[in-house]
Amino acid sequence: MFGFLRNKERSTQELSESELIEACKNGSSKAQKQLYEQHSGKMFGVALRYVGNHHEAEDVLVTAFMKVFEHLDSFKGEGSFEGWIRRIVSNEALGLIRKRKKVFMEEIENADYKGKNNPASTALETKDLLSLVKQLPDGYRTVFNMYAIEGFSHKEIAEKLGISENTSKSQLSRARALLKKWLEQIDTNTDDTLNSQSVQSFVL
Amino acid sequence: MDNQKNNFSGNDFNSDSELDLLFKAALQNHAVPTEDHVWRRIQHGLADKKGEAAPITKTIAKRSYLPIWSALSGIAASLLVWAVFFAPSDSNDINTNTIANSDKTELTNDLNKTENSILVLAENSENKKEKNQNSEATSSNAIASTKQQIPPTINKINTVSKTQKVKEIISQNPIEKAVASLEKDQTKIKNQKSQDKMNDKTFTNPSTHIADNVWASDFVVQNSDFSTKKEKNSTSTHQLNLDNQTVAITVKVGNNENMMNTSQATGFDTNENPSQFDKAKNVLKEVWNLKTGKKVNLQNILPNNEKATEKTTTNQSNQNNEIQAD
Repeated sequence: MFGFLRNKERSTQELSESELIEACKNGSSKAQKQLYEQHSGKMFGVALRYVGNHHEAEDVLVTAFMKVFEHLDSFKGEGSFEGWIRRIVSNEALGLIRKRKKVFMEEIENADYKGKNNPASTALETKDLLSLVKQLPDGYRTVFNMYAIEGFSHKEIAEKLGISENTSKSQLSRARALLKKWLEQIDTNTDDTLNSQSVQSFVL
Repeated sequence: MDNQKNNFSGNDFNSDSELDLLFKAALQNHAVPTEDHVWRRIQHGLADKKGEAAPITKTIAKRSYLPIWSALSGIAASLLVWAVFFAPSDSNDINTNTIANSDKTELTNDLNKTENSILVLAENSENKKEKNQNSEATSSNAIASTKQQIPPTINKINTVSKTQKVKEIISQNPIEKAVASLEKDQTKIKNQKSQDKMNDKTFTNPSTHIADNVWASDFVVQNSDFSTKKEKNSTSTHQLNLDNQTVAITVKVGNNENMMNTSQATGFDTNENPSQFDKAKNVLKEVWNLKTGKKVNLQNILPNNEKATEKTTTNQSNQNNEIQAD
């Protein structure tokens, strides 16, 4: 009996992604949970990059994974499954950003964003870079995420966000300039201050 | 979470692509751990969309047998019900006695209420009869006799029914029999009320009674129901002038000589003037009104403006016309 259970556990652990997908299609909650655990971390990082807010990123993740499990049949195996989920998560995040009804795309001239904090270390961790991205304005952050990290073209960004390509380009250049400025500040502050200070202190 | 160090300098980014590469390399596959409640939210969301209750229903569905405490609780509940409703006779006696005592008090209260209501009815009937007594001097004795007759009978009925009820309650513990006896008494009381009403109807205005039953060809009318309650004799005579004829109307109340319960009205001969009888009937009505103290308008009855005179003398047998009402 215990051997049967051990074999069952081993069998669920050794399932390949395609088998997990099939099991999820059959309604297996264990397979769903396993699939979620495989991809939730990365997808939560994606949501955080887009949304910039922990709670809203959780909302995006919940909605996106519900759609993943509901529309699993529409995944035909063309491309990677992670890319398919990532697209769903990024679309959900963009939908949430649109719902905010903020001034989504600012003109470059009016976008005079100043960093809130001074960097204190050149040795930035990934989470610190993520924090820098999260501090960008919505428009800058969205275009930078889509272009620099996700690899969308300006045309695709314009179509997805309903803006012109020039606006997308301007948002991207402004985001880059802002990030450079913050990184330069980090570099200059490193000479004056001790490295013992944590980046976390200025970021958060 | 991968927290690899990304060593750089602000002067290192000579081109935008380098900056993009840095962030892409650092963040594209950057994983952030999620909390457990996120998965629970996903589960609940999926369950809601499927119309199922989340994992709780699944655990219940897996269970193919009822737990043992459910069977034990069922047995305990059945025993409790048995103990309450089908207990031994000793405990049942105590309960029934207490219930019977409480029911006794309730029934005695009900009996008192009914007694009070009957007494009120009797008082009302007495008031009515007192009014009749004041208004009608001739029928006062008869009403008084009925007063003596009716209330005692009612009281007797009440006392009898009350004692019967108490006896029944004491002897018959079950509540249903006591309630049934109470209902029987109530029906008796209702019947008594209806009989009283019927008796009251016999004391209607005699003039209207005579007027409804007298016809022109025969002036003598006998009605057995009319004077059943009138025992003492009383007579009053009224003398009127009708079309140059003196009409003496004598109203007598009471039993006649033959102890027959009759009512009698006599008038003058209508062969000569039949309309006189109608006038006489109207006069009789007005006489009743006169006796009861009501307003009398003889001018309407006597179109010739003849004056009506009233005398309280008795035995006007010399007059030709006489109407008697026993």
